[in-house]
Amino acid sequence: MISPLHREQTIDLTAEPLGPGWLRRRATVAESREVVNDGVWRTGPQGRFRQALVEALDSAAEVALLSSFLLADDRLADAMLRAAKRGVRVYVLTASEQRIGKVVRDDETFEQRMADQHKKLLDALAGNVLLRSAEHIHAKFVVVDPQLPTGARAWLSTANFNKALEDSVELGVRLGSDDARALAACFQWAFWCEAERELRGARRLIEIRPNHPAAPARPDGEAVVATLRDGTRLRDRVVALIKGARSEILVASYGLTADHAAVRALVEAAKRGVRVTLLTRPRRAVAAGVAELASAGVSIVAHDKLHAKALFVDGQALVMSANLEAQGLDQGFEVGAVVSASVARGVEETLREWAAAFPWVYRADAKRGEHLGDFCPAEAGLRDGVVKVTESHAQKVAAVIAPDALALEDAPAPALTPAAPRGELPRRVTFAWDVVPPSLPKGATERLREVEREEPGKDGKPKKTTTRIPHEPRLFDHGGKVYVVLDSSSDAERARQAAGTFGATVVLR
Amino acid sequence: MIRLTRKVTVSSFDAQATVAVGRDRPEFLAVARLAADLARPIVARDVLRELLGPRPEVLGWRVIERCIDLGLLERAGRDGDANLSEAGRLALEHGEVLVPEEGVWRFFVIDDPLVPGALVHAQRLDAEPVRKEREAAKARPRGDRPHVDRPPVSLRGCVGGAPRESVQNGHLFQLGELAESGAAGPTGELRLMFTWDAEPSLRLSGRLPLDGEGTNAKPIDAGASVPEVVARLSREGLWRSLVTRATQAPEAELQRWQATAGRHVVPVPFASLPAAARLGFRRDLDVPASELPGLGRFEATVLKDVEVVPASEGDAQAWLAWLQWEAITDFVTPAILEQHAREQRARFPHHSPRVLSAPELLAKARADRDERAWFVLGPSDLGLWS
Repeated sequence: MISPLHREQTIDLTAEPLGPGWLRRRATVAESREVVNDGVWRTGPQGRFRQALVEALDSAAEVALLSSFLLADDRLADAMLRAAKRGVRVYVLTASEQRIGKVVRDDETFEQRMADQHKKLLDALAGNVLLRSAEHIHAKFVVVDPQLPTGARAWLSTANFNKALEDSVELGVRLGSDDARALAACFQWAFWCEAERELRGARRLIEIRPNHPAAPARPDGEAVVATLRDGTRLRDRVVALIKGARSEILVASYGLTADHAAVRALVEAAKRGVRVTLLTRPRRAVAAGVAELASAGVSIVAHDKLHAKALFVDGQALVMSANLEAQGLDQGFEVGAVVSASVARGVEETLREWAAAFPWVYRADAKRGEHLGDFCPAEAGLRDGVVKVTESHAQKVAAVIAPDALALEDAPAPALTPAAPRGELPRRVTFAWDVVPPSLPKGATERLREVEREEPGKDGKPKKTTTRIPHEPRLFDHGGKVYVVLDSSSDAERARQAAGTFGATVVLR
Repeated sequence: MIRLTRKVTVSSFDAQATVAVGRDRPEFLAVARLAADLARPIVARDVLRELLGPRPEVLGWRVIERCIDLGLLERAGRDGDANLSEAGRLALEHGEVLVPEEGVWRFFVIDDPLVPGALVHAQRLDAEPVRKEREAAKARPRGDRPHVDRPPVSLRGCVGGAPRESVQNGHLFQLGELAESGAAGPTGELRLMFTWDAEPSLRLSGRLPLDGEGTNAKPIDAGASVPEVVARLSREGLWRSLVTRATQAPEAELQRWQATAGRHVVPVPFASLPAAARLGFRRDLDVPASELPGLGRFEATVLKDVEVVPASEGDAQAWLAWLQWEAITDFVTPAILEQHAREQRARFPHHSPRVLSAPELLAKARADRDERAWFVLGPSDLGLWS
């Protein structure tokens, strides 16, 4: 009889700000170039850096020193046990179980499974190596035969010795003999002066009495520097390198906090015109620091699995275990090495390639019209915070009831509020709705009209009587309003006239 | 302490006898006490004045006469005055008076070099069952009658002897008269323990084959007087004899070491020692079952906590090296190892072992990788030795 009227309207959201966050510019892919040069490795699925560490342990003649926040790599554990079996003295530093437990709770990157693997590995090592732990141990490195005049060698890692050696985006560098000895000195200091517990058997970490018969020499290497409980030479060196930058800084860090001296130094460098590129991991924990740096003009890219910590400043490279935050550069047992020129070139090459290839770029002020695809708000995490910017979204709106069955086109548009599916940010939203004629309200009473008729009376004489009959078209009353019921489209004109006559609304039954 | 044990056989013999048995008779003990306190012969007036009060004097004399009959007093002169007897002193010690009782008794006799007194207990048997058994025996044909024995010599030797203390109940008893015949009773076993710490002592323990009690007899644990044969020995001699049996070290060598050290020490090979003995220079020695001249055969025993010394210079060298290693209980520096060496070397005043140097201990740690080795290797490898 009267068909609904279909309506559409599109709202343009391209100017909507996305808010500070990470824009995906390409897919996340695994590392394909694990060996950069003779002294620089990138971790990756082939495990080439881990293989270098295993070979280092297998080549140890007398002594091997190993430090890692987490220890959960079976191949490295096997290499340590092989070394111990052939008479090599293996010494290990690792984080305390309490600290690892805290990180598992607080950092989404770490899983309970890692802590369980760590404990299991310690059980396997018990009795074969001399292992100590402390809450603040975070450095990751291997030193082999530091006591040999020319045979000392070391590998500094940004990766913990667990699945990060294959899964994370990390750096590993080899150090020369002098740096290896300097790194060994850091190990010795932490072992005797800072460790809190010692592994004396499976599940038997005993507290260390602080009464060792002597103290080792305090680490004083020039190229290899450490943050210790009572000294922050690593932080000082990092800050000094940044402050001394003249043209360019490439910096990678898994964690960073806005108020740390190193981050403030990066902000100042950027403000004075140094070209600064930060590589990090999109996490809620770095949001404030990243915002500060971005506002200073630092270009920021990120990778889902970046964990490397390195600094390249005007030709010098420093690879370290510490993040740009207090729980690291200021308070942990962390080490860093200003590497040789050839290694520095490999580090630079790596940071540049990563900066170009990393999937995420940070923007504080991007709009929907400038991006299509994944977007991760800075205050969210990749695990559950990624949304997708889409071209458009069609949004169905509830039907609108016209004011009069004969004037559907006069119905006003409904309120249009974009409501995209969860996880989507459309650039445009097209709303669609139908306009339908109104219906006679329930409970309406029909208005009748009176007509007179002559009928023969009992006496045979015509007699006038009054009767009530429906209007044509029919009229109804409800709530103080009058309605004309349109029973057929052919009655439209009559209905319109009746509506005009009675001030009524045309409705369908 | 020397502690030697063996089983001893207890035989018994049933016979008609008069046995004076220790009884609780305070009225007579009071008279004996009076004689002991006055320390002179007592007369009737003493008894009346101190014990009975105003009574006719003849009553006092009767009391004294009765005490003489009981053996508590012995006549001092013709006037009837009396002194405390040896039996009286014994009665005061035990708080009981020996009262003769006639009847059928079972006597328990031990035949052992260390218990020469032989008679250790007398048990009064019920008269009625004995009489019935005797009449029943008489009624049987001559060939079926129980064998009638003469009392054993050791038992006959006790007739009229000094009162002795029962190992069963501690009461005094004294065999007065013994019939010429009787019957052998059941036999049993007691355990004899001969110990010699400061002084030698003997104890008997176990159960006597008492009449009517079987295995329910009250267990005994009683001291026994040390016989003359023990008094002729010296503790040192017995100790050396036992050590020789335990270690095969000649007694002459033990005597030489006693002269050198000024005390009992036993030279031992280092390799034979358990760790505790190496650390403490003391050990227990297992002595096999042995026949000791004059004392009889004893079961295997242990000489506890005997001081030991190295048997040779080689043993001393190995022992010192072992102690130096054992002294490493925490991380060490060369200075600490030297201190250990001095302390351990001082424990060998009668030998001349050479101490191991710090490099030698380090070499040992590298070769023998045990938990202790880390206490040397760690400081050496990790910068505490330089």
